[in-house]
Amino acid sequence: MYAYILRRLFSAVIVLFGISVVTFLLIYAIPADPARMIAGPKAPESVVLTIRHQLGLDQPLPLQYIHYVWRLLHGDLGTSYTYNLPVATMIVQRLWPTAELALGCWLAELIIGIPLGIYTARHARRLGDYIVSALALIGISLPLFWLGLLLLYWLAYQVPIFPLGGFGGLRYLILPSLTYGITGAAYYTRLLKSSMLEVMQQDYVRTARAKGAGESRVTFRHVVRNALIPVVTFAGIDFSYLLTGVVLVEATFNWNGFGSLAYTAIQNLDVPVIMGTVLLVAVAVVLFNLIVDILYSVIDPRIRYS
Amino acid sequence: MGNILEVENLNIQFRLDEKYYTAVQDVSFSIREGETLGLVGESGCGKSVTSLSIMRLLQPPTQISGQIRYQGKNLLDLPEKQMRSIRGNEISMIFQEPMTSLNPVHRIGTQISESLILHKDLSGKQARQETIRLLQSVGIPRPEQIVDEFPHQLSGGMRQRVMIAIAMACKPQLLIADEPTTALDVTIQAQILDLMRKVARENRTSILLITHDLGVVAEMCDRVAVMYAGRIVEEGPVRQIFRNPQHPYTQGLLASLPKVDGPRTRLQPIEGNVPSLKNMPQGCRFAPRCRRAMDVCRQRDADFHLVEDAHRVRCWLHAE
Repeated sequence: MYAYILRRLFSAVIVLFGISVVTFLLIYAIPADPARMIAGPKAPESVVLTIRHQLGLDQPLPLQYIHYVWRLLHGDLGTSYTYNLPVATMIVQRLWPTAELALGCWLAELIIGIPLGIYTARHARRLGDYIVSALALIGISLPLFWLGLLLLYWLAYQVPIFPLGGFGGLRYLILPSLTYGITGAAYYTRLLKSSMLEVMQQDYVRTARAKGAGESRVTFRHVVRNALIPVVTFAGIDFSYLLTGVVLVEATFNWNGFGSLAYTAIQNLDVPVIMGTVLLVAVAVVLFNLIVDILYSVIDPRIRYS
Repeated sequence: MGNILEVENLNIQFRLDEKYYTAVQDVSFSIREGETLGLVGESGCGKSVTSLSIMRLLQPPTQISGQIRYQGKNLLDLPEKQMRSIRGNEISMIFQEPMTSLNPVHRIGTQISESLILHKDLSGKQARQETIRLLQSVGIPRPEQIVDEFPHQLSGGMRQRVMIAIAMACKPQLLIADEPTTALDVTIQAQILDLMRKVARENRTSILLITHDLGVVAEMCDRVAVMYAGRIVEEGPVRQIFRNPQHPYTQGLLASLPKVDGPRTRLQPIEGNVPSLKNMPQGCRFAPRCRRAMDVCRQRDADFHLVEDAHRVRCWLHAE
């Protein structure tokens, strides 16, 4: 098992290397000049040249990349062109709010989606299933920002239970999480439902009933556990996606997170920040895929890595 | 000795495409204490459906009528909660497919002790000890280790032993075995049959053995009921049925068995196929395949006629 994890981490390094090369090339393929953007459209050419030289942008591309990687290996992600701050500091500042928001949104999806999945599977093709499935479909179709604004209007402005956006304690987290949870839960509901319906046909479920187990025991001990694999897969992908920042949620709730950092960096062609955010996202994705694979073997003893 | 189970006029209908089709019609039989009854027939004849209906494990949409009396109580009338206290406790069941009948994510021990925890008031520690004893009694080597292993670590024969341990955990009055050896190698089959006989004798458990294998019936059963297309066509003590089969279907089944001794002859298959649920013939359901069918066979099904003591057959050839 440990050997397996080490192997996976080693291959992760190769993946990250590849991603850094591709991102680097893509940024320079864009027909825009960071030096010109920093200097402003009306600055004389000499200023642009000076800036370009200062940033090392006048060197050949391979050399620029080697310099970048060399600094990266020393823990230096570079300095933001726009804010003149170390990229590492900027990312760390945004990391906590984003992690908090991601976790909140993710848990809201799970807390809403999984019980509804179990409910619809147990009541499949009955009235309750149709009602919940219809509600889930509505949830999935709601525009995120619209639902967010609606919740803000009613639960923060008309009835001031929650703050009107911003980052703080748990109270600030509830509305954005709820917004995302309502729109995202349906994926979990459907995934778990179809997986459970499949498991319910298995012989071992009949065995459990033949032992005299009641419906809830059959559902929770025998069906749900076996039905979790696809849900865990999706939850892993979902969480690493959330960690990269939910720009719409961040924008609606005025949340200074990773998503808005990446978004403004791309707008300003702030190369070191773009590179830093992309690499961090890549690390998150690789890491969560590994965690998901390890969870498989916890859920299903037939899955073993060596 | 009294009857432990009496099935009377059991009818089971399935709904397919908005219409009900009769899978089991007017089936009656009984099992005495300590007795083994074989229920024999081709696949699709309704024998598994009959066994599942005794446990009330048939999935809707089905309609069941008639009576299934266990120790005098009609199981079909019991509230689900009481039925649960009978399942796995007084009546238990083993299935055809040992490879898929155990839950892959739970340890062997957990799955056996589940019955004990559900029905007997045992602590976790007691249940574990009892589980290890059960594993030993079904002939599993190293029970202290196996108890913590997962199903995929065991062979098919071992898994069927585990299934027997689960079924026998609460010392049931009746064990329903639905093709328990069909999925196993021949050498393992004999072991599993021996084991079933042993544990049933030790616990004075009656067995309802569902099989298509007449060899297994000869080996295991006291009495046998032959089913064809949802009806019992012949019933009686095993010796009489084998020596003196009366229904043309039973005769055909026995004639299609290869004989080890005597001159080598061609096997005699029964021509034709089992009718489908949606397309049941009028009258005797075997008539279209029966070489001795008469006009009356195609119009009305026969009633039971007594051949000898406790040996009865549903065939017009025996009508007075």
